[in-house]
Amino acid sequence: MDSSQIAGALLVVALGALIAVLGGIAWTGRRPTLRPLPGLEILRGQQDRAIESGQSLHLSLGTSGIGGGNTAATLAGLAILESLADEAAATDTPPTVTVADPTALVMAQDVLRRAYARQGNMAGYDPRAVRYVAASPLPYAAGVSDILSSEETSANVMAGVFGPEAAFITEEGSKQAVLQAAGAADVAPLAVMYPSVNHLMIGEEMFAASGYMDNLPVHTGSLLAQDIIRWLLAALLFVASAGALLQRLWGGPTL
Amino acid sequence: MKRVAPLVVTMVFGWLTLVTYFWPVIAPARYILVELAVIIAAFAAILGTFNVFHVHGTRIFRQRPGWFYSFVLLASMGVVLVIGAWEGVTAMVLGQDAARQGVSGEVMLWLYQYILIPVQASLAALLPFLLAFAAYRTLRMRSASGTVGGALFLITAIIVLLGQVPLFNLTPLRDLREWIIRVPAMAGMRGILLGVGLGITATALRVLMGADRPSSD
Repeated sequence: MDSSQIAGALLVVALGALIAVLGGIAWTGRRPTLRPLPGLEILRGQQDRAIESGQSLHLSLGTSGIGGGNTAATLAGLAILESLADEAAATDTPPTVTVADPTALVMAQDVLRRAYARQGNMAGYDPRAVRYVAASPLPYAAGVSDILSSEETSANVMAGVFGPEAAFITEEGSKQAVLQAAGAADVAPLAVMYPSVNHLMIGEEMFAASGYMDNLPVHTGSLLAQDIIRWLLAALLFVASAGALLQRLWGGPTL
Repeated sequence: MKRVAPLVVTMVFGWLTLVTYFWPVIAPARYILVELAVIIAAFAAILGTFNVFHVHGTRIFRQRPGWFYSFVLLASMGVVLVIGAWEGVTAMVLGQDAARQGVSGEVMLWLYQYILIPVQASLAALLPFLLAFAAYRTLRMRSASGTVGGALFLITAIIVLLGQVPLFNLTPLRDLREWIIRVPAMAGMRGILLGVGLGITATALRVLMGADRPSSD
């Protein structure tokens, strides 16, 4: 193993151990207070508002699927769907879910179906609530924009992998004056989403959705573990940068 | 058993794939698993096609608003499927590479080059105007903090765009653009990507530890 592989392995082991320990502590009933994330807090109760207004909530899972390098981003989007699906199944108002990868289609249909089964309302389950819009980013964005403009939608939630074409979706949502919350696994879509979206989930916030919305001990532990490791890495970066700067100021060889 | 089996399969194959990154000796196992995933994804693509027919077929059948666009979509899809199949079969009869001819036959390439690419390029060309308008609206509509953010967004976008234009030899503007991209934008980007990386790792670990179950019971 080279040094980068060793560092990667250490990070995985440290994060895994912290998740197990902090998840265990949360399981005993000692739940810490999580820092507020407005992008996720507004998602709570959105399904209720959709039911009251007689409109459906739209959830976009982006262009990624299961099996590639972006699997975790798709899983984060599916976690949001899982949180919304129970309320939807109980009231027979399914959210409209759009995907651009057939593996995400199968998974999203499964999440919805399980929610309806849990609520004992399998007759209300409609697999057409999840729509495979297109296989590539631009046609997907065009198709989702059409759904937002032609169907009664109360809110637009986006979580997954997007590119700059996400601007078409958020702009249409803004034109229709629907509440918008969006997160992405990359920086470029976050930049283009910023002007039109009410609440942006930046960086790890999208991956924290399950911790905030389901409030399970392991998710809470996972969030705390991420925060601890991030602070440690930030401190390490700061110390290394300060060391390099001081070395340069005192005329030593640069790192 | 119904609950345990998917969990065990996910955990075993997940850990195996992860270990191959740190122990290259067993890397071939990862390639086999990836090939299996590709085959399963191909079956999912068939389900995706059925979903498109199901959703848009219902829209046409019930004459819902926009049903004509659904008709155009299904008709285009049918035409492309027939052309692809025809070119594939023809290539097979003539003894050519059938798999290759199916996706890169003469007509398919023409459709791709003269319809799909121009339409997508036209759509992509609208993006800068869309963003400029959105930024302007942000400036007008948002709260005080949003206005500051919107102003920063707009000013930065103007500097970066003008700094790229070779029309005038504006060296200070070009230097400022370089600095924005290299220092504040890069710092912010690295911070965000660090968080994303940790989020991805934590999500994957929860699945590998059996705490998250994305698969059905």
